[in-house]
Amino acid sequence: MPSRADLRRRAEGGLRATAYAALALAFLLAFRARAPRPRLRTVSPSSLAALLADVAHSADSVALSADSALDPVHRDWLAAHRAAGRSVRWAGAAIPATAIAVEPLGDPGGGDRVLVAAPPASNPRLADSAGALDSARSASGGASFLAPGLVGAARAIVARQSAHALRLDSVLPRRVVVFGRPGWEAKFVVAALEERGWTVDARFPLAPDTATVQGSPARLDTAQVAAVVALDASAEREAARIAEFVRQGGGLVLGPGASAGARFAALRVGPAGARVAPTVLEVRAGDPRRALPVLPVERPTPDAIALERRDGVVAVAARRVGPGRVIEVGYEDTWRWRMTGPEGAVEAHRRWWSGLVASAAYRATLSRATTVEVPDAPLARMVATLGPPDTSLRAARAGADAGGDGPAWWLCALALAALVTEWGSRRLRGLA
Amino acid sequence: MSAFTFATAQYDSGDWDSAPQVPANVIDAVARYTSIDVNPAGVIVPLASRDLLRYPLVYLTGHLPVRLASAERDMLRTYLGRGGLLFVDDHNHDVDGQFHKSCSHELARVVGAPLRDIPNGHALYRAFFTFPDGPPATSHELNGWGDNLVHTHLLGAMRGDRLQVLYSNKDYSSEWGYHPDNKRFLSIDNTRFAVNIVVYALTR
Amino acid sequence: MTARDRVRRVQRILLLGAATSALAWGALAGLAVLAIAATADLISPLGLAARSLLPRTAALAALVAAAAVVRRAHRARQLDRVALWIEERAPALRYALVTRLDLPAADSANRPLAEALDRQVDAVPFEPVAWRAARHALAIPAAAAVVAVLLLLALPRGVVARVAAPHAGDAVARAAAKDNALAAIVVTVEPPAYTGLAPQVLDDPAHAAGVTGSRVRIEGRVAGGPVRATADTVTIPVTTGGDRWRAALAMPAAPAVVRLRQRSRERLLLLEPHPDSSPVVTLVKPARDTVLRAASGVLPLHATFRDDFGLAEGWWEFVVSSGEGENFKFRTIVLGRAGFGNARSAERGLRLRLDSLALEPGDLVHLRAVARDGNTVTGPGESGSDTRSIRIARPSEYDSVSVEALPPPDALKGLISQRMLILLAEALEKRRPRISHETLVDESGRIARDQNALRKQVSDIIFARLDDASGGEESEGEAEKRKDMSPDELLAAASAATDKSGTGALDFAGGESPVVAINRPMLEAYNAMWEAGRALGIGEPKRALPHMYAALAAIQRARLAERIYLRGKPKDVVVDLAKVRLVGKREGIGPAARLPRTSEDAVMARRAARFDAAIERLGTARAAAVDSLLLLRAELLAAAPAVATPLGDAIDALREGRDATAPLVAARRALAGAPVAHTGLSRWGGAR
Repeated sequence: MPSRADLRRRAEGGLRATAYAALALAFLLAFRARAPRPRLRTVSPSSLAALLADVAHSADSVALSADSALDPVHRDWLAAHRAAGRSVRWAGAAIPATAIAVEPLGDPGGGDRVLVAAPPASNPRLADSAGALDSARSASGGASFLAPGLVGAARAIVARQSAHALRLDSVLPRRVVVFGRPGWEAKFVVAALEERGWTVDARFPLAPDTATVQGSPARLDTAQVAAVVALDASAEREAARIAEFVRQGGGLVLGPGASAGARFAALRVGPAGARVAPTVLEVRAGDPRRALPVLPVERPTPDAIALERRDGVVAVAARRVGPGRVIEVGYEDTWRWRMTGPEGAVEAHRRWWSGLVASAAYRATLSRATTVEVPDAPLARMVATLGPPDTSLRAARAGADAGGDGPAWWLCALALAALVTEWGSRRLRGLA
Repeated sequence: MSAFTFATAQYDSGDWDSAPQVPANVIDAVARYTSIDVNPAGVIVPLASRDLLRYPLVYLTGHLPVRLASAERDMLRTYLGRGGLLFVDDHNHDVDGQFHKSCSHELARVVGAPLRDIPNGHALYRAFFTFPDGPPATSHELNGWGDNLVHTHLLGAMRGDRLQVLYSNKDYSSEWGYHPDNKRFLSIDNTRFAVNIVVYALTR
Repeated sequence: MTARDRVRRVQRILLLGAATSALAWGALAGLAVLAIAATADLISPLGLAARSLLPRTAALAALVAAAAVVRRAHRARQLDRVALWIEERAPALRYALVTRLDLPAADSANRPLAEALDRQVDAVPFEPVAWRAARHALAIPAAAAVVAVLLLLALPRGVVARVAAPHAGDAVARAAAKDNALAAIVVTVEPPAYTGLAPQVLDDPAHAAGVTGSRVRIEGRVAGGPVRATADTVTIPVTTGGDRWRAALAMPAAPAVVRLRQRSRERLLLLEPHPDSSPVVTLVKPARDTVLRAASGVLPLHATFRDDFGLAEGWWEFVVSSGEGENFKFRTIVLGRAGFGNARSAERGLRLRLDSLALEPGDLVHLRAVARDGNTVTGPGESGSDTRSIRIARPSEYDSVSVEALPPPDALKGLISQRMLILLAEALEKRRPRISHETLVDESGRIARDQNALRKQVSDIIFARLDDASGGEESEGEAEKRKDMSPDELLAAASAATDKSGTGALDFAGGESPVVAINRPMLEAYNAMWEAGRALGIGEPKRALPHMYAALAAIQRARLAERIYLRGKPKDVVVDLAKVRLVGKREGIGPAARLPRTSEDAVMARRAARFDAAIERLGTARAAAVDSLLLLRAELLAAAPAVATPLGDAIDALREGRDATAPLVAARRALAGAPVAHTGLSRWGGAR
């Protein structure tokens, strides 16, 4: 039976043999790498330009594997190589398909709606020139953000890919017309819209022949008016004109008192149902409208979109009527939210009503001409410019990698470790 | 939609209930001249209660000194900030009286500035009936009671361009303090200005 | 001189050299630290906290350097080591010196050797070697220290002072940038004397906070042209003395921006006033409003007082309102005025003798504690506690007032008495089989007398109320007559009195006046007491007891009824809307057009846009962007303090070159609101 010393000596011999074998294999692989194969280079985005310039003099084909989309300059450069007769292939399976769009909300308080397309179950992050803003879970094709104000370009970041977008148009201001009986609801809806910055025309009938009027509520024209808010049955006398306005593309917000009447039957999303009592007594910050009575939108039209549900009923719903948009609100006495709600209720009530009106309102936009291309959908634009990715390229690269640079490094490391261990063992035994 | 409810403020100090007939009379006037949905009876709402926020127009009166408790002051501040309108009438109609001195001081503390004259061209005087000369005089003023003055202006506190406190030294509480059935004996209804106050509160 | 003496001499030379060398090295280390720090401060200003460590760091460096030198020289303390050191540097000695020192002095056998060694040692002059060594050890550190001193002398004096004796306010001591008098400023905020706060010196600040009315002094170095200072539109005089310019102003009541200008150069300083709060006064006693039957006795009052800087004086204020209906008179009484000696908190009590206020029935006293602070600049601030009211009941209100903290009301007293009489009657009935008839009649008669007395009290209560209900027009004689009325007569009188009050005006629920509604149980009690008294008078407690129980139950009902606070429940008038709807004369109606409200969010939106623009400028024009943020903060301090706080942090971070991302993000969220994220893409935009 060999002694411990013998075993140790044998182990040292084994280690030395391993080191020699590894070195030999590494040399072999190194020489094999010099075989006439496409040259693989890993470069940072900043040195990609130099590489592409180099390609123009030295190579007649380019195969590129990227883990994030190229910027427009590099992408177009590759397209130019292809146009010059070189073979250009690319692979980018790791590039997340991301796109971003920014549209102004049309709310006088400002803000933008940012739509981000992203792979399912990813977490797109939204940022702008001033820093990170928020993140959301992607589902049904992406996520959306309501950003109160964007500084510079908006960026959607998914993994290592970012998409940029600028707000390219702005909404021209238009008036809002409110019809409502004199009461707290009408008063505070008008107040909320005005405090938010809308120019409001209104009519409050005080008696059969008397009304308090502001502006010219009878002139309903999309050249002047963005939306009509009909809070109750007092708007019925204008129903024909409102219908014409919606057909022109105008927005309409119907309160429960108005949608219950027959004169708005053609426009409404559905008739108002029986009153559902609030499920909580006090307006709470997290879910303020839970404390409001609601007349649910019943039997919604097939094209209706439920925007808000409460206790199993549709509380707010929307539909398109020709080019116009109609939103039906089932909540009654929303003024109680403003008056009795917690801290910040006034602003929240104001934002909610303004948001409703803005999302229904006729949008007259003014485009801001720009010649700068922003990478708003980087992968899509790469595909559009360079054609679809070459899936075989990725497979070829994976094969090259298997016998290429990576393992050679590991073999060197293995040889070094074996030699150091053997040397240490010998030193500990007292040998030189 | 909820109908308009006339609310009387109940405060700890003083005699807040000194004009119990006024609410009915104002309600009667609103119904008599307008089609505004109005509840047939008024309510009493403690000034320190969160219920105050359910009544965006509140009427406060009395003869005696008004010293608000801190809870009343805080709630009133919230109420006015949210958009409420407080209508105060000095039942003493006396600018040297304790009600006026203490109440105007308390209101100044709440709104952060002293009460100021409301111009007689203010929208309040044209909200429904037209009062070209500003607030209508009361018989108590004309009879020389109280401070023996006919007050030409109402006082108020603005929040931006919104009236948040309307303060009267004219003693409308006495002027309107009778059963509404007795209006038939008046050649000119003296509660018409109350309609303006209500319409103003509901539409502005 | 013996060889040993000569070695000792060399030892002293070496020790002296080591000591001076240690001093020189220590001085060099200390001076080097200061010189390096001063040079660094000259290039880029060091913070006060860092500079505060420098003197101690220099001293420590000097100590360590000196200690290191001393440690190296410790061998010179041993004579044999010194001898060896000499032998090493004087080879001619050929170890004679070491050998000589090793020879015992008293050993005569070694004398010849000793003498020979002495001669050999004497022949070699080794002291100059020691002197040379000592000089050599001193030369390098001394020369270096001289260089350090020269460097320090070459630096501007203020710079050296900043590192040698750093203190708040020495920012201007650095050499001013060429022609720039605004490169560094020092702001001293001296709070008003009454606050007792120490002055605050700020180096190169962007904003300075202080109590309103504080003296703000701004100071800088004269360089280039004159400096002008303005706050809003007011010009602040700028004086020059020596190499400094100075401007002074009072801390305003509202945030203000001081603009310091020199030619085209501008620097902003935001003044952030902290208002002196009014005292906080809390009335502890009495805890509640109360109604007293009589204006007598002592009422203990107690209040606590608190102020942010100091209380000057406090007092009790009583406003007495007398009268009713439309006629009221008021008088104000002040008691217990006393100073607080600038204490920040205090307690005060007062035992108020109610009769000293000369109150009459119906009077209402509003009492509160009032305090004034010691603000002699913008004040004094004065505030009062919550008010408690004490009402002296009118006799006519005895049935309707809510009585607290007082002896039980008459009805309650009656209740107690009736219970006692029942107990007495029950005990008597129990003892009846064991006592004689005379004793029974005697004791029963005593209970009957008490029962009748109690009945008369009830009668007084009822008629006091009925008097009030009927307008108080009855004469005293009529009231006297009632005392002997039978129940039937009493009820008849009560009924008549009730009728007199007029059902038209007092028509209450069920056609019954509130006076009758409340008095009815008392009338029942009176009736039952009458019956009980009659039975007791003839020695029949058993027959009396049911009536006594009935009386007790009736009083109980009356007591509950009296809890109704009539004053708080005015008569309900329900308007018949259908009857009056739109029946009014349609004259003079002409509602004016409504005027729109101003936008409140537009103001904040404009501020958000200014913020965004400043952020976008940060990359290209940092100083201008910081100034924009500073001006925005001046506006937000009053309008939106929640935004101003993170914005202030961001400004500080930007000016000091720190990462300002977090406070900027916080400020932006507070200013424009947080973004709202939604999972998925909606088919409808906007409202969610």
